Amino acid sequence: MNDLSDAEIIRAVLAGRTDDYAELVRRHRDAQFRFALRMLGDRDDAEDVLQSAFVRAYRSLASCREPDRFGAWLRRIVVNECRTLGAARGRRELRLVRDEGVLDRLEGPGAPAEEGGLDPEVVRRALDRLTPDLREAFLLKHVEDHSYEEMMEITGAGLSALKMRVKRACEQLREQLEGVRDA
Amino acid sequence: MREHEQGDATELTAAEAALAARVATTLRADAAAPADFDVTVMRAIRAEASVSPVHAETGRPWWTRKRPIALSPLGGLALAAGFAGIVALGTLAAVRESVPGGAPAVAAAEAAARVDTVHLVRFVLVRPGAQQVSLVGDFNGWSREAMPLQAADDGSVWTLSVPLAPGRYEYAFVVDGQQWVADPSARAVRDEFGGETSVLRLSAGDRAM
Repeated sequence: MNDLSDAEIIRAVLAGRTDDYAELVRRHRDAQFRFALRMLGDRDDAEDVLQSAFVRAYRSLASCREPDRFGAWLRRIVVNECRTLGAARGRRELRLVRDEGVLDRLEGPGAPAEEGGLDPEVVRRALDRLTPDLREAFLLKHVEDHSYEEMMEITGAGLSALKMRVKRACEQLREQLEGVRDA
Repeated sequence: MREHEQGDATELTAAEAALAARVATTLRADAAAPADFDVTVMRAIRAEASVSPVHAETGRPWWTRKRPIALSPLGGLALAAGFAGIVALGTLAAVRESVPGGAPAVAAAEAAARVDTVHLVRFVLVRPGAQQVSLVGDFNGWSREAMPLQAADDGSVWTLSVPLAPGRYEYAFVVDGQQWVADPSARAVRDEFGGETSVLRLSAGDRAM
C-alpha cells in the first residue's frame, strides 16, 4: 500500500484515519500468525488470538511508546494471548513433558524427508510436546529471530532463564527428532 | 527447575544449533494468516471506532471498564427457561463457541436463524435479581446503552436477539450498569485489563466454526 513507516501509520490512525490500520495488520499478520499457530497448534485458535491481539493493540495504540517497534509491542500482546488461551485449554491438551521426565521418541530417529529436511508433522508434534515455556522461548529465538534482549522485553523473563529454556528446548527436540539424549 | 543456572550450560552445541535451524525452517513454512484476515480485523475495528475513539489511557471508554464479579450459582429451572427461549425462536443453526470441558452454562449466545448471510443471534443471560442487563461488544462499539436485554418469565432470564453478519465477535454482558459478565457458555479471552470477554464466531456457511 505504501512505504510509510509503522510509526507514521500509527500517527495517522491516531489522527483519525482508522482505515490505515489495515496496513499495519497486513504487514504484521503473517509473522504474528505463525507464532500463534506454532504456539497453539491450531489454526482457529491462532486466528482468534491474533484478531483479539490486533483489536486490543488498536484500542491501546496511543500507549505504544515506541511506534517504530510496533511489531515487538504487538508480539508481547500475542504472547500473552497465547498464554491465556493455552492455560485455558488445560493440561490435558497441552501434554506437558516435565524436565525430569523421560521423553518418548515420536517417530524414531530423525526421518529427513528430503535433503536436510524434516517431516513437518513430526516437527510439529515434537514442538507440541515441549512445555509452553520452552516452546515459547524456542519459537521466539529460532523461528522469529528475536534477540534475547527483545525476548526479555516480550516475555518478562530474565536472560538466564530464557537461555536455559532455549537450551532445553533444543535438547528435547534433538532427542525426539534425532534420538540423541543429552549426556 | 534449573532455570537459574548460569554460564556455558546454556550455550547450544553445534549439533543443537544445526537442528534448531532445520526445525525453524520447517516451522516457518505453510504458516501464513488467512488472506482476508485484515478485512476481518478491520470490520471489528471499524465497528468499535464508529462509537468509541482510541483512549489514551485505557483504550476503552469509561463505561465499559470492567469490574470483577462472581456469578451466582443458578438453578436448573432458570437454565431451562433460558434455553426454552432459544428454541422458541427457531433453530436453523446453532453456532456457539465450544467451551473447554463442555460444562453446561448459565448463559448462552446462540445463532438461531439465518437469512442469507445474516445470523439472528439470541443472547441469553440468566441473572436473578438484576435490574438491568445490556449487551456490549465490538459489534456495537462496546456501548452499554445500545442493546439492552429484556427480562422474561420471573425476571431472571434476560434475552436479546441481534442480527449479525458472519464474522468473529467479542462481547460481554453489563449488569446493572457496572458489572461486567463474560458469557460462561462461550469461549473467553482475556483482555488487557485482566478481565474476560466472550467470543462468538459466525460463519457464512451457517455452521459452527
